[in-house]
Amino acid sequence: MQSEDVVRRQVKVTPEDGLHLRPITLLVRCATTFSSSISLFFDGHRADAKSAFDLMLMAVPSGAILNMEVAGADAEAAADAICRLFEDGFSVPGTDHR
Amino acid sequence: MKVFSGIAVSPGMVSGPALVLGSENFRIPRKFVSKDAIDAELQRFHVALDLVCKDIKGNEQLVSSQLGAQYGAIFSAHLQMAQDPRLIREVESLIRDQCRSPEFAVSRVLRSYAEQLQKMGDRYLSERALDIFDLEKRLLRKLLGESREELSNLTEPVIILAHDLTPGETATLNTKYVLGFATEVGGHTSHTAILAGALEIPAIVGLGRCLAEISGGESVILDGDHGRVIIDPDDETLARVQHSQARSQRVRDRLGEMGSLPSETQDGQRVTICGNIEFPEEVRQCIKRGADGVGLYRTEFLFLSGNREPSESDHYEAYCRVVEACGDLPVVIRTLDIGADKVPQLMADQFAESANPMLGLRSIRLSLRNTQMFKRQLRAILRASVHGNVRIMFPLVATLLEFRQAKMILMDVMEDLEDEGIPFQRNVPIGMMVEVPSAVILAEEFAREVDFFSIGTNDLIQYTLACDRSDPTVAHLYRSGDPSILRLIQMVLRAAEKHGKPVTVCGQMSSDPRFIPLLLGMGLRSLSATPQAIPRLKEVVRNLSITEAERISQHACSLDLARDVEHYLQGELSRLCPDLVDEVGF
Repeated sequence: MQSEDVVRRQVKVTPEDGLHLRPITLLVRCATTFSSSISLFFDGHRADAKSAFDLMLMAVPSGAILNMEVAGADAEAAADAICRLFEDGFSVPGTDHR
Repeated sequence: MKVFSGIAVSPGMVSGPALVLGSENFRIPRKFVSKDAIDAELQRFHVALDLVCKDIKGNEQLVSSQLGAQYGAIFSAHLQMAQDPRLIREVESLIRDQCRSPEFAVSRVLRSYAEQLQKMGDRYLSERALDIFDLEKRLLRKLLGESREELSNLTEPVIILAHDLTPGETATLNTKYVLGFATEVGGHTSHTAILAGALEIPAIVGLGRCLAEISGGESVILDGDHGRVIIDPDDETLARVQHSQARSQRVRDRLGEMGSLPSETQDGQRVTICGNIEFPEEVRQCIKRGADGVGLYRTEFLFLSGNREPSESDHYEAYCRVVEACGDLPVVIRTLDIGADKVPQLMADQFAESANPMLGLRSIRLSLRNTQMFKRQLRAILRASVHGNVRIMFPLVATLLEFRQAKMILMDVMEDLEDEGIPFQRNVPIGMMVEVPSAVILAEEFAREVDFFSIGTNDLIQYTLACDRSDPTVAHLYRSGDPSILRLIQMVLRAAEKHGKPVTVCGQMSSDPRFIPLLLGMGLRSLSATPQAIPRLKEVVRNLSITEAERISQHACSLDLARDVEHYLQGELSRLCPDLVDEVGF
C-alpha cells in the first residue's frame, strides 16, 4: 500500500448544466483507462469517478469545486488527465478518445 | 376480421402469421437464497451481466456496421451503466450479505437509482431513469431465462405484434423471417421507429391496446403504408393482398431500375425529386434511387442520439459527409427542429411542463432562445457550404420577425467567420419551412424575404386541422386531402410564383403518389420525399402530362370533403399508374 502514489487535486465544474450526462460519460470513459482509484468529493459525499451512477447521484451543480483523490501506480497521469478534462470544460475533441 | 390503426413508420405491405410478444412484467419468483447457494448466485449474476454487456456491444456493433456509428451510439451509454462498479458492488453485497436473490438485488438497486434520480427534480437526469429500467429489463430477462427466444429462434416468416420493441430488439430482428412489426406504444421519433425505417422493414407503432384481442398465430396483414393491421382477414381480403404482394414485388423490381431515368412528364416538364434524410448514411439511398439532391436534411439526430450536445465539429463532420456525397446536387439543411415530441435528454431541463408541447417551445423558437447552440450549428453549416451546394432552412417559422431574427443571427455568424478568415459560401440560399397557417396567410410577405419555401405538410395539417395524428381518437381528422390543406398549398404556390421563389413540398404528402398529379397541377415543380418513395414518384411523373395534372387538380380542388378528394385522386392514380395502386381498398 505504501508504494502507491496518492495525488490530491481540486477541480472546478465549469459546464453550465453542472456535472451532467455528457461530462459524466466523458469522465467515466477517461477514468476507466487508468488503474488508479479516483475519488471525487463534494458536499460531504464521495463518488468513484469510474461509476456513472455515483457521479449522477452526487448531483454536482455548475461552479462547484470538487476535491479529487487519486491513488495507484498511474495516479499522477490519471490526475493530469482528469484535471485537463475539467479545465477544458469537457469540450476538447479528442479527450473522449483517449 | 379485425382492423387496428396506428402510426405508419416504415412502408410496405406484408402478410403472415402473428407472433405476439406481450408487455414484459417480470415476476421475481423468490427474494432470498440459501446461504450455501451464495457463491452460485453471485456467479449467476455475473454470467447474466456478461451476457447483457455482450448483447449491448453486439447491438452497438451490428447497428454501427449496418446503419452507421450514429445509430450505434444509442447503445454506448447503456454499456457504461451495465459495467458500473457501484452497481456491481451493491448487487453483490445484497446477495452476499443479505442472501438476496440476484433478481431481487438487481431490481432493488437499479430501481433505487432511478427513484433517486427522479426525485432530484432535475428533468435532465431524471430522463435517465428510463435507461435504468431498460437495463433492469435486460438483466432480469437473462436471469429469469425469459429471453424473447421467440425472436431469435424463428424458423418461419412471421409478423411481430408486440407491446413494445426495444431499439436493441429491433436492431437484431432477423429480417429473413420478420416480415414486419407493429407495436402498441411508440411514436414517429422513437429509436425503434427510426431503426425500422433504416432496416426497411414495414412497421407500425402506436396501435394502442390491442394485444389482448390477439392470441398469436392468426393470419395478419400489416400495411406499413397506411398504418393498418388486419387480423384474420377474410379470404377475399387475403387473396387481394397476396395478389398485390406478388405484384408489388414485380413493381419493386421494375421501379428499382427507375433511378437512371429522368423525372420528366410526358410533355417534357422536368420535375425535381429530392430525398428527405436524417442520417448521412441515407444519402447513398437517395443517390441510388436517382434523387436530384437532398431536399430536407433533418439535423435532430445529432442532438437526440448522444448524451451530449453536439460540438461544432460533430455538426461539421456530419454535414460534410452529406454535402460531399451529393457533389453538385443541392443539400437543404434544416436547422434544429426539436421540441414537442422529440426532446433530447440533454435539453430536457429547458422544457417546462407544458400541457401543450406542440404549441410550445420547439424548432426555431428553441434556436432563437439558445443562440449559442444555434450559432454553433449555423457555423458548421456555413463551413460545410464550401464543399458543395448547401442551402439553409429554418423550421416552423410563424412570424416575419422570427425569420428576420434567424437571418440576423446567420449574418452575425457570417461576420464572425469572415473575421476569423474561415471560408464559407456568402450567398448561401436561405429559406423556410411553411408549416404554420400564419406563414401561409403571410406567404406574400415572406416571399419577399426568403430565397425558397418548403412546405412541411405534416405540421401544416396538424396545425390547420388542430389535430394530433398520434392520438387515435382524432387521427381521422388528419388528412392530406383536406380541402383546407389544398387551398393553403395553392396560396403558397401563388405567392412564391409572384415573387419568383421556388417551392418544394416535403412531408408525407409528397411521398404519397396519389398527390403527385394534384401538386404538379397546382404548379409545383419540386418534391422531396423519403428515399424509398422516390422511384414511385418518378413513375407517376413520367406517366403524367402537365395538362392532365392541371385537369386533375382543378377537379380535386372543387371537391369539399377530404375523403372525396382522396378517393378521386386514388382513382386517377389507378388510371395513370395501375401498378402503383394497392388493390386492397380499406
